[in-house]
Amino acid sequence: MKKLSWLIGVVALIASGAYLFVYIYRWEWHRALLVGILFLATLVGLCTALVLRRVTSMDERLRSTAGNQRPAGALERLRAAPVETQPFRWLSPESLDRTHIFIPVLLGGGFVVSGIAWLIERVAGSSARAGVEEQLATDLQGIAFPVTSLVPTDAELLAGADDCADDPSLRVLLGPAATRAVR
Amino acid sequence: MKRVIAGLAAAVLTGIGIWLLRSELMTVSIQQPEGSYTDVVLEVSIREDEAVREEMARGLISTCRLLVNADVVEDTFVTVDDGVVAFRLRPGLDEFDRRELRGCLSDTRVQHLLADVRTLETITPEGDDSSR
Repeated sequence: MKKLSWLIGVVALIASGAYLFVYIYRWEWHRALLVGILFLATLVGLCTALVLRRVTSMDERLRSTAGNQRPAGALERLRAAPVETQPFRWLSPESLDRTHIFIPVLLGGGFVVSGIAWLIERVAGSSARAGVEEQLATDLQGIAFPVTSLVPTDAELLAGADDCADDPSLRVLLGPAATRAVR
Repeated sequence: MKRVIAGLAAAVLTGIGIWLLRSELMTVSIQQPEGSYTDVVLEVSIREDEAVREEMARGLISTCRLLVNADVVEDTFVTVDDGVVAFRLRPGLDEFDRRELRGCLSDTRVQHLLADVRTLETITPEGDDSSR
């Protein structure tokens, strides 16, 4: 199959090259351009195949020669070697002055600070609620509407007329609103 | 050694090819006698509607005659047979122009149109300088 592919490629290369000359000879430029593109494509394909074949053969030769020189028992040596387990290596003291611990420390610090802030907010919210409401009620009392009416009724106006204006007990009974209206 | 021989052969073939092309692709202009003309008979095949065959053929001829700097003589474009057209160019074309015109007409310049040059000859008033 490989030989057939090579044969087809070489025949296509020769034929397209020959037709390129023929079409140029006949002044048929469009056909010459098309065949020229085909010629170039075939040439690039064949050259690539040649290079790949050479690389493959070199690789196989290297594998065949170098494979015998390797000492056996690589897996056993790996298993026999001491295993170094050092988790969180970036926290080791000799690495503390390195820049690469900055990011983990920053991330961890941010997490801790966020937790503390959340805790403070919860405690403050639960403790301050009762006191704040009491203070608010006290402040609102100062600006609340008076219990008595601001405008005297007709009866109060009549009672506070000139005939009864000098009666202090009646004035106390009517309150300040009727007294102000009369004046 | 084999590679050297193959490379030499390829180089020699290429050199010969270029040498042949050099003489064939010359664009030398040879003055033609006064009153000379060139008759062309063309077989045209088309993959489109047959009704546009003549129009496409005219387009191809108009394109190609610009390359050789010759005009189609008025009313000389005739349909000789089914798919065969003829026209006359004036002034007559020299050998190099005839090659160029033949190549242009036979080329795939117009899509879906193939033209085969049956006759392409230059006729001079003396009658002894006709060439195909």
